[in-house]
Amino acid sequence: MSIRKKILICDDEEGVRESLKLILEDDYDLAFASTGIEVIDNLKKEPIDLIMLDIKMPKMNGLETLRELKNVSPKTKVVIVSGYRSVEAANEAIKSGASDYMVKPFDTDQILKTLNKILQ
Amino acid sequence: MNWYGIVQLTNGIFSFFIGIFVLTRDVKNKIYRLFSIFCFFISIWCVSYSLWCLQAEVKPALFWFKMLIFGAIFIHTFYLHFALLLLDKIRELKYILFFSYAISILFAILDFTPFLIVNFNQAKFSFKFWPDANLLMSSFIFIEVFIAYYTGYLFYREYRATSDYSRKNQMKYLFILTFLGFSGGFTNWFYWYDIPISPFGNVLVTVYLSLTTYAILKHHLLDIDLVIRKGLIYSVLVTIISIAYLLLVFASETIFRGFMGYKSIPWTLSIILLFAILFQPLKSKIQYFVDRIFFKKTTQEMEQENIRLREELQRSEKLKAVGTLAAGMAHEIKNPLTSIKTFTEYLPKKYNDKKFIDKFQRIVSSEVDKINDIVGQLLDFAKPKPLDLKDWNIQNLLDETLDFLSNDLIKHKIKVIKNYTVLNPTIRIDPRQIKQAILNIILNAIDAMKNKGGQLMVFLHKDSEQYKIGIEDTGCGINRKDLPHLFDPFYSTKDTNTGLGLSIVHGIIEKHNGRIEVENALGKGTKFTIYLPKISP
Repeated sequence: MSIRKKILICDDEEGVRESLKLILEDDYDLAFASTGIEVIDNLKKEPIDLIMLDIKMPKMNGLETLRELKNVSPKTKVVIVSGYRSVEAANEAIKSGASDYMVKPFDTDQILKTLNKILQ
Repeated sequence: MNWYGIVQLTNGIFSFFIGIFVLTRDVKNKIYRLFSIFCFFISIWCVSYSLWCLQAEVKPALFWFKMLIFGAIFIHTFYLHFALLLLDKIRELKYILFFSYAISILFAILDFTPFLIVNFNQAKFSFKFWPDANLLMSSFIFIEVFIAYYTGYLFYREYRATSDYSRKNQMKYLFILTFLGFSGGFTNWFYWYDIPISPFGNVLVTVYLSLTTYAILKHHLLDIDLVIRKGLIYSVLVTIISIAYLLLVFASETIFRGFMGYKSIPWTLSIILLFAILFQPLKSKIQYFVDRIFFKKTTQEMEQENIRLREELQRSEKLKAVGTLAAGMAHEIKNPLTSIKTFTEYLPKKYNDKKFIDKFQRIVSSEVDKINDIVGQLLDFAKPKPLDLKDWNIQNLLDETLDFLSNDLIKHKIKVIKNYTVLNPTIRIDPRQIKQAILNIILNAIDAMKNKGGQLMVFLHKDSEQYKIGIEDTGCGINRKDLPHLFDPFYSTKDTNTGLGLSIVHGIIEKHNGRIEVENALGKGTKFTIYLPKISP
């Protein structure tokens, strides 16, 4: 029996967190955060395999959180999530160490395939 | 008085009235002010010229000749200053402007010494008195010609550089007119060197003045060709009518002199004034005649057409503004859509799961409300509502607005620096409208920094009477010529902007009994400060 991977979902919108929970809860262990600071605190407490990070969050946005968390845990995979389809933002995310960039609203199958591939 | 004196008197009167007209259009506008000063110096040159032609004795003739030189000395300098301001090149070419002013002041002083005007007792062609061109005068002529044509070259350079159609047209006409007007004026220099070319070009000065005035006052109009055409017709008509009028004055004065047996400048001026008063009622008739004959419309009809065009423009600008906002809103709608989509997709699988159904009801219903709220904001923008005042945390509002734009800020590599010296203050405002105002200013700041990135400084201070919200960028700044129009509705320097944003900001702040100030440094950035009174509006 393989060990279930742990995913941290970070989004300031409850609806988005709950949606991702619906999609991912059968395959992964989940943790939740609504700010970038909570993500860093969580990472310091326990190892996380992948973080789904909303780009647009108050106080510390997704890209700032990404750079910060890479200092704390360089091996943790990160997928940036955005409501904004932007090549520049996607490039910026990949350059900062993100594994992928996803646009809302999600395609359920696509999200599962992508995460599975990243975590293999 | 010879023919040249009559033409110059026409020019003098015409340029004086144009100067007054331009100045009264907007006395605070520096470009207008400089153009008016330029016109007044043309007027001094022209009127002194005609009075010089009128004199029979050497002493008064010399006085008026020195006066005409005095006027001419400053014409090209004020024109250069006006051009540099219009082209926003004062800083870049300040040394040339300084040189031009210094030279003008130096020659103005020399003009009233015996060194500049020498041997003023020789008749040349139809002029009773004419001086020699010594080295000093030749130097002045050379510098004046250089400055004038250099100004024309600056217009030409801007014409080549700009891609804006209406500005290109404006520059083209200004270049041609500068060349035409000054070349006309420079025909006065040939007699100084005994070249038998008379100062026939003075009449071009009238044409030049008329056309340039139109180009300045109406340069933001789309149909600049029509403006120029109309300006030309007006100027030619005004010249013809003015000459006819002056001939009438001249004839009256001659008859009067013959009748009374003496001549007097006060009497001549009184006659001119009397005719000027009598001439006034003719003005509207001339205008009607010109409009009807050349444009097939009366002024009233043209005004109505202008109103109709403006309304059409407003409608299309409003639609564009709504389109821009809708694009931003679509981004906000994505979050609730994500929830609604995912929950509805899982509904067939989980409709027996009570926990899921509870969440479905709570989340989907809340997300639908959010979308409804966003649509409401869109409608508010399209049709502004009266103030809905609430006690609101302005700091949160600033943070929310910055969050709303965080994607754009990241995309354009803009770093946000916050400086709040007052924490969580509650102000009685319409939060939705104030958010709209702040959003519009930040969007402008992003636009100003989008090519190079930069810093966005947002501050919040308070003093005894008011709260101060500042938004400062390190972007390209605003051209000086655009500053007076910054809050004008539909005034935009960008192809992609509606020109509504800052006028909406202004309206919102005014409704709150507040005010907004702009500090600007071209190439360095812009700072907007909103002052909101502590006492509720």
